[in-house]
Amino acid sequence: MRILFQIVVIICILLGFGAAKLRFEDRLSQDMVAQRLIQPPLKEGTSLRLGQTGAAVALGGLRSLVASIWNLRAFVHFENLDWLKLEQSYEVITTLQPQTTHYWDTGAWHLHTNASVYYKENKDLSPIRRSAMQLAYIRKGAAFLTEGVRQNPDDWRLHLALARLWNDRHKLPDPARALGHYEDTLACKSLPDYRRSQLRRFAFYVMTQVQGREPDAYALGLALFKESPQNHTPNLVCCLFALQNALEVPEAERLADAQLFPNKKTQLLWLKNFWSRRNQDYPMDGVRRKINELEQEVGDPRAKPQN
Amino acid sequence: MRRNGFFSPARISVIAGHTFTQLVRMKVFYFLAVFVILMLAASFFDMPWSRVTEDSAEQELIILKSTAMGAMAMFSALFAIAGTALLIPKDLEDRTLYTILSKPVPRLDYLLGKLAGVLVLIAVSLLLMDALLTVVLHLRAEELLAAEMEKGAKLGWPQQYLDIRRESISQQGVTWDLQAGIAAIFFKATVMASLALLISTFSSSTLFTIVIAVVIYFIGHFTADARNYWLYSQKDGVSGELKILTQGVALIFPDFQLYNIIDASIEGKKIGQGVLARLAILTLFYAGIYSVLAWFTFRKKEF
Repeated sequence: MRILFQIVVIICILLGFGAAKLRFEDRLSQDMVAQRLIQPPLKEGTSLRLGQTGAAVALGGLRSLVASIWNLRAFVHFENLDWLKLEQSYEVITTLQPQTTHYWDTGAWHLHTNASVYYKENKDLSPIRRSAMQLAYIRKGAAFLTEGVRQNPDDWRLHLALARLWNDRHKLPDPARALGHYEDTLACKSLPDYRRSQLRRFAFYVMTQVQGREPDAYALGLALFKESPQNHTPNLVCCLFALQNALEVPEAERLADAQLFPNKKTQLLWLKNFWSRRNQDYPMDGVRRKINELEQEVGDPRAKPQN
Repeated sequence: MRRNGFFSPARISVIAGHTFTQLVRMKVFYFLAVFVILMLAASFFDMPWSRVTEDSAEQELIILKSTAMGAMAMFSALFAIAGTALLIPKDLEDRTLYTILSKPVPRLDYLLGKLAGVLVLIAVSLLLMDALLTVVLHLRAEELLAAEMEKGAKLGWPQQYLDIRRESISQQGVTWDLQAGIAAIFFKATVMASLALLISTFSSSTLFTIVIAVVIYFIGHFTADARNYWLYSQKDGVSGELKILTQGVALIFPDFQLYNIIDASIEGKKIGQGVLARLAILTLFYAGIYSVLAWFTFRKKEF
């Protein structure tokens, strides 16, 4: 009876002190969430998948440890080509560690590259099924990265991974979408300066492939060209050359060939290489004609492009 | 006749010293041997990365830290609960309790001494594990950093990128933020130990104390959810019982989620001193309340 009385008194005192600590704890918790020091609670499905022990350990503040162990499991699923389990593993891993770019990036890569290629080359499946599964896994990879971006909006690596995915001509190339992601990458505050110039060039290359964006692409390319000699890469120069032709830029406003290319021999070489990539949707206006002219002028029979 | 004071730090430290010795004789430090093996295994273990990414070096260090801090958190939580639960029953069994309480030793001093003894043992263990982690982590981080710089030099990375890589890898090495995570482990163990002490003052067996303490440990990780539900997301259609339940959980149980900055420190995030100081205040608050309540039930207990 005495113990029961004591327990009742203890509970009453704890309730009283609980009211005193409530606001303090709440403010501290909010500050910690704002500073991303503590993570939101696990989703119901994740706890089930983790199992009792894993969920208990994760609950105790050791999500990174559980995520590492699940990363090992994911590797085993990758070796066994068990894509469904691999996908589920990375869902658990990223729920445990939503701010770790590595897990989002690698999980998506497994889906949009490894799993999709596996299905593409799986001779046991009918061609229609192969194609459907390949596309499904590319989309799964993209969706996985998109979720990563939603949870880490300023992570330039995840934006870049999406840009590369939609720019990959072996997958589902969508230059307009890729351009959007390049622009998002460039808008990230976390993007280091030394990558900015290179990514602007990549954005320019993709922009040249988007129908109707040629004038914007020309303006960007011109700005990049004038900005730094480091931007005078063969691809950028050839794109500018073709864009000037495509947009019929007046002679007075055009960059002369002598400004664009170091010399005629190099111009021929660069344009030939550029022409060989004509299946990549780069603008090719006037490129073939110029190659023929230069071949006449420079006179190198080996430089003849194969049509 | 000299009047016996109600609270004496000297007396508490004597009881704490005795408790520490008592616990050390239970060979708890053997756990450190297991920790050493774990650390050595973790430092030599190569995670089978399916893909080498820009931050693979950092990921290796994170795995090393999470293994070590996982062991630290597990040891400290288990020991805070089991070690404290054993104290009063052990003193009863050895008859030490009668010897102490027959002398003019206030029961609060006895309880605080016992709690301090457990906490000193946990602190010493954590310090030893921390020292080992620091050495192993430093060596591994230096090794990875040197390899990365060599790779960068070979590939002609720009200086700005080399600096970024150096900073990023160093942030996953030995930092003050990592020490803040270890402090959070100690704070959590302090709350658990004082809670186990409170339970053991009215519990009839060691097993009961351990079971109840473990149950509270788990409930404590849902306190934040209950509080958020109560304060921010109650809807009209919710039953009155559920409202009372969430209010009760939020008020009675400690919020252990707040101590989960351990994960943030493993990930190499910056942990502000303000956050750590507020966590320390909260820990003192809990430890103080539970100790006073433990004295309340223990003060007139007959043996």
